[in-house]
Amino acid sequence: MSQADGTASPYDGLDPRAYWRLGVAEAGVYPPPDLYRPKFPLTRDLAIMTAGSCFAQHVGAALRKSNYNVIDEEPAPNGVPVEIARSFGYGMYSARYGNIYTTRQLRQLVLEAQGAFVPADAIWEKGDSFFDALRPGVEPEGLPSRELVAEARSYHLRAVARAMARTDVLVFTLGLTEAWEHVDSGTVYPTAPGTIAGKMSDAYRFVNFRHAEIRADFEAVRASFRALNPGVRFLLTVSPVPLTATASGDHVMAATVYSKSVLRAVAGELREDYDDVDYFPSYEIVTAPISAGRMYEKNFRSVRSDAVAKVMSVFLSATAAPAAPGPKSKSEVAMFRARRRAKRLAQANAQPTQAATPADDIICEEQLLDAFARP
Amino acid sequence: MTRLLILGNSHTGALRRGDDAFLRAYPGVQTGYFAAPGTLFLRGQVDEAGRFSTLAATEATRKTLIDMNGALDCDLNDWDQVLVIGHRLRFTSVAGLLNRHDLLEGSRTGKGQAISWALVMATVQAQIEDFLRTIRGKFPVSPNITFFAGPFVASSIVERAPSYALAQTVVEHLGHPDLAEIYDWWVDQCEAAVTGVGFGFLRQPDSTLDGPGLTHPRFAVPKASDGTPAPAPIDHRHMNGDFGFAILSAFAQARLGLTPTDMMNHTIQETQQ
Repeated sequence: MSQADGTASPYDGLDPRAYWRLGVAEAGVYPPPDLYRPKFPLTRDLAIMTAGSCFAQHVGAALRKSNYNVIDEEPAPNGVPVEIARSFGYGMYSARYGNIYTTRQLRQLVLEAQGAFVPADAIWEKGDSFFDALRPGVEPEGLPSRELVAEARSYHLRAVARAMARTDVLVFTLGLTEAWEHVDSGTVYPTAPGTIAGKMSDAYRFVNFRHAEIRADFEAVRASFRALNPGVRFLLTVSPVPLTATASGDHVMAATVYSKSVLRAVAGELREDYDDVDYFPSYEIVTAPISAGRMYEKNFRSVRSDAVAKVMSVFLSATAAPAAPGPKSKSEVAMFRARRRAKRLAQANAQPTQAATPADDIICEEQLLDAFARP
Repeated sequence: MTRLLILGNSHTGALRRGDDAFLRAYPGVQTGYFAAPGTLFLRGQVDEAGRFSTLAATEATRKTLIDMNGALDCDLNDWDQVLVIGHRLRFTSVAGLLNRHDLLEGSRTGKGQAISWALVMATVQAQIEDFLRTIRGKFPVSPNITFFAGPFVASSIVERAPSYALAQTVVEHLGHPDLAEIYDWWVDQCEAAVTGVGFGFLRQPDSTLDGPGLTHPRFAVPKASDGTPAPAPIDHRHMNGDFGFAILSAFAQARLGLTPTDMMNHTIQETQQ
């Protein structure tokens, strides 16, 4: 890099991927090649647990479609049609916890499954029915008694514990920084009281988690998983889906950018700080200026199904084997072939993935907030 | 005289075997049969002129139909009533929901997981809607076209577990304390839905049942003999003439409002032969 006249720049001679013009603007294809270099391979023998905000459902669906070993410790009984199963929270993730929008919510679940946390005010009412406040969407009509909600949750927590114990890789999509918490206990919920069930009152308050809190929550999650399996790895993504609404007082566009920026920063730091944490840039693929909003539906919020397919194609082709610099050895040639096979597989699966989980079918309680928006 | 056509798949054979006894017990009914094997029947439908036919694409299938029925199709206009057997609502798929799960609102049998009654209801609703979509696409809506809910498999099918999946699924939910209540609710739902769109519906008579959604093994027929002297194994899915007689009688009583002339003289006791 050094030159005789001493004018060498540290940016001279870098890979094309290091320059915006070569790596993005004039890359010729989008998403650009070599966007994501995985830290570790995601092989089909690894047991993968998925969780996160609604966008995370795409990740799990694509992995399942590509025959990855995605854990499902709480499957629907045989004979339940897929669309009905999904409306009851089955088949979305590795257990029936529904969408986990905040890292605090994930931390609570992990600790509760290990008997180290008891949520406060965990059962909400609506009419004559009772709902699990920590996953209010999994029984659309609720259950007839508090006792049944508690019993159903105990089955669920055992499934979560089983899933955790088996996990080789946790794939988690960070979705929101905003949440509603129980004032006295700090218990947070996936939806605001009154959205699906429950009733808003002074017992709850809005919270917008900060960078340090989110990082600490994830580190607690990481510690819980590592206590069960020291070799466990973590793959983070940030949901590109903007906030449906914000209670922060800011404009929803500013609140969205703030929220996603904080989440992206946390994910980036965790990736830098821990060898077992990686980050996949699905957020960047969808939101980058070059896509000019074309990856969103007309509401500029829902991600188009073809965009989801593109994102997952990048993910699947990249994660089949790790990128490795240096001369090509036999193993690297084999790795290249594996990646090429994975790419072909991903391309072949792109359409079926859409069909299996079209963007419109993603279950997202957050969309319920639209019902509260006055015209 | 009521002209009754029995239209269906291989299960039509049970009714055919009970036909003589039925005609003696119900002399006011004249019967006719049109049957096609398995999927060939399921592919069949009634055209605008009222003729039922199926896609007999090969010479072999055409020969099968001719050998069985003397014709490739049949005209429903020639009959006052049609009893369809073969388009079924399968209770085993509903009961199978309890193979690895208890019912949250029901009893505990140590399954380790539980599903809600709401999930059972939604699943049954989907099953019924799928069934209605099928039969409405194949048959003109008429109260004179009746769909038989059975036959259910014989409870003796458990002998074939675990190597036979259907048998294994029965083993896993057999005796679940909530099954009877689910069955009663399920059959009510099926009847209400099918009659609600304008067809007739015939339940499998309680006298033929050996538990919820299972036929008593005394009605199961031996498998077709292969010519060896050893006793033929039981075909747990196809039923004998006693069963057929029971179904035809149930139809005559429930759908035609008839009573048998002399039941004692017309039970054929096929199982004791």
